[in-house]
Amino acid sequence: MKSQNSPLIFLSGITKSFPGVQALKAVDLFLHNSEVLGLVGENGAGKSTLMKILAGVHHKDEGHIYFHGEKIQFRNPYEAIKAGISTVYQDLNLVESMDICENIFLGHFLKTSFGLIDQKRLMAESRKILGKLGLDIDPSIPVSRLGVAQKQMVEIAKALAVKAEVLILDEPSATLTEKELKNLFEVIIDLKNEKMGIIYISHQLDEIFQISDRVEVLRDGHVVDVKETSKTNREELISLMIGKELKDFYPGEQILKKGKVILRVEKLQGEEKEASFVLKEGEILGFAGLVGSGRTELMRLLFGADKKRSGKIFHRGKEVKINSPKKAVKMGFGYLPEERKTQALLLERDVKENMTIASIHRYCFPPGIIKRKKEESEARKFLQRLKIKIPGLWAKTKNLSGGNQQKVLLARWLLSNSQLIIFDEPTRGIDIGAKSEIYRLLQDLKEKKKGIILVSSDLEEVVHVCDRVIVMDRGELVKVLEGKDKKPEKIMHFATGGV
Amino acid sequence: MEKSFGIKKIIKRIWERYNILLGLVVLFIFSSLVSGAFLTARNLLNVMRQVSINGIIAVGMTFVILTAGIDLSVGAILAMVGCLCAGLLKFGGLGFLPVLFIGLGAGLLMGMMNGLVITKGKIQPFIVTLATMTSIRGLAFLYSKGRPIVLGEETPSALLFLGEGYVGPIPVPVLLFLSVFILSSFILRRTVLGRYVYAIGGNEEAARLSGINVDFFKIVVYSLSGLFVAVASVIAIGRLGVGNADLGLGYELNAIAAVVIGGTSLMGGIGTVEGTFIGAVILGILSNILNLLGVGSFFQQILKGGIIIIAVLLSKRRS
Repeated sequence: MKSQNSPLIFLSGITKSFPGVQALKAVDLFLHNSEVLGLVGENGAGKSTLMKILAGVHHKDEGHIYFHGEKIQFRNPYEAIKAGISTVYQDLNLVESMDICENIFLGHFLKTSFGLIDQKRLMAESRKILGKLGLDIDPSIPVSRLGVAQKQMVEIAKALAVKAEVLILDEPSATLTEKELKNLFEVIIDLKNEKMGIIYISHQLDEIFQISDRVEVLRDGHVVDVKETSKTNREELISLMIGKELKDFYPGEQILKKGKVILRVEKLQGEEKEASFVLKEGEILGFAGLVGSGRTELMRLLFGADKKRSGKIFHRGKEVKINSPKKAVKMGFGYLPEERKTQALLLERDVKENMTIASIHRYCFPPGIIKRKKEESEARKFLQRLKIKIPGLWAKTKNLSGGNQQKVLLARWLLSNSQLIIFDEPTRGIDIGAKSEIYRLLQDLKEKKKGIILVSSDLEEVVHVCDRVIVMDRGELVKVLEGKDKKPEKIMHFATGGV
Repeated sequence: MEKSFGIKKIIKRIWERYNILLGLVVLFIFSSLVSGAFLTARNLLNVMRQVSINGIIAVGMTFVILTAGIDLSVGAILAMVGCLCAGLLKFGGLGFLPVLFIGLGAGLLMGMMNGLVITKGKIQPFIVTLATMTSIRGLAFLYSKGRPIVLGEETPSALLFLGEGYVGPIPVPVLLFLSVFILSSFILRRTVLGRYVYAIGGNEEAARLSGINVDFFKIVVYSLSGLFVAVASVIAIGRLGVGNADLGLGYELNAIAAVVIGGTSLMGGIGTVEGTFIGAVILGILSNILNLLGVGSFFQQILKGGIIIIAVLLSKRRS
């Protein structure tokens, strides 16, 4: 069966379903040596599931996997890695407390003839591999002291240490700076020249065009098209991904009708520098800045999630003491945190419970006892209003796509009748279609005179969606931009220490 | 091919959902076949009565474990409440009702103390309840001066009724167990408290950021566990006619075993009291049939351990 030009990897008719969700329907994919295959699609399109099947994490229901033309079946990730298929996940899998070299050779330590770990060779080999990746760091320092980009390189080093032939990169760019990304691309090209086959998953189409040779588009669990990257363009890919022409991606900018001040923050201070700002009814106030500029910290302070040291918060002119999220919710605040899964979702519970958890008392009579019919009908309203596409209210939220999860969380705060909603990176890791829906919902909230705070690292998004943008740098509010000044370049200028 | 796939899927789903119940049915049928003495109303009611005390404690434990906690102090609280009630009845000159309320209140308070130290001190439940288990047991010995407080003839009739009485053919402890179970099932399914218990155990930070006062509800849950233990304690002294600081040694492990066999995850957020009910009954039938078959208690312990592992393996398959 082996032939000279048979692909390195051939996935044929892969089908997979999870309770309530058909994740993949007869998906084909092939990958050659020395090739970078871009894999794109909206969230929930099945990219990650497909890759997890290839990596032995999930088991396929139907279909076949061929590696070097031979049919194989991985029972667990270890078998896949041993066979030569390594994956670098978005949330990296390193043992933080262990040294770099120990991480690189985790699971297959080099041993001396006595069967003990050969620390010298471990270090030497690690240095060699890190050198190949253009990384000049001491392999004996613990991984916890590295930055995200360096950790990612250690993950790739792990793949090189097992002499992987296939490298899967799942959203590698999400947390990288531009310079780090460039470095990553150089490494990818080097690996490609050494006959490695690489699958590159990303939402950033620019990256796909920069790095990939071919691009496969998934939608709703099946393959829509496979294109040579040089023979397609951005618009075509987007319309393939969302299944329709891309129009009105950002809703038309609205003129700010001057509403009343909902929120006034005076010299609020926690661990960072003090912050003061105001938010009006019907306004979308953006918070821009680099990762680590203190935006999330400020929002948590405002919502009572962390302890504040000093400062005052005025809600509709009256000073309020917000010392717990409970108080904030009572005041009519809502918060969609940056980390959906770890900070907001009850993954094992169903959609209905996730929606109503912050407003459960509203469906109770006598107090404390839930009237299930009332609860269900209220939740159902938002299923329709927010166009949440799921099998039913009973679906567990862990099985939903990122976009639907985000909408469920928005429903949580609309059900609790929040007048002020804080969105922290609401569109991160969300596909284009769901993104534009979120933008529409934001406009909708704006028309309903809610006050909205939007924390985002996507500059285009901040500029197009927000009425005013506050730029933060190293824990400080450095600039308010509005009108003509509200431009990505200006935001970047102030976010990076410019004056 | 297609069709068998569908049927296989349905069977799989039923199995996933009800495998503990099926386990119980299999054990029940097996027991009926190997011993003629098993399948009699008298024996079955007897089994249920023996299950009651552990069952009530295990239901309270389910709440705690659902919040991703643990309560190791239940056995010690059982002893302390028992000694306290017996002592007050014998030497305190109090009537049954005041003693009952003091006993229940004491259980509740001890549970509340667990909850307070866990939440306000931010110490892991395992450590806190390990400490209170030791201290409360010591307190029980101190209070009883290390001797059993024998009520004997002085046992109030109402207390005797709770421990040994019958309503029709059904033992009162069984009725109390059923009441606690049904009440708890209702709480978990239909009340705000239940919702919050699952939310806190499933994702504590998410619960907090949804405006839930996590500390308060954790304290409620540990208090509830203490209260249920006190109920079990009243049954125990009613039945034994003795308050003893040795009472309930190792009961925390039996309760945890019932909860775990019932499919509740020690990580919190997943599980039901229905499962715990079945878990407690499985343990009860197991020791009953082994007794009927004349299997020694040492061997019984080995088997019990094996059953716990098998049950967890089965419930792991479900997720």
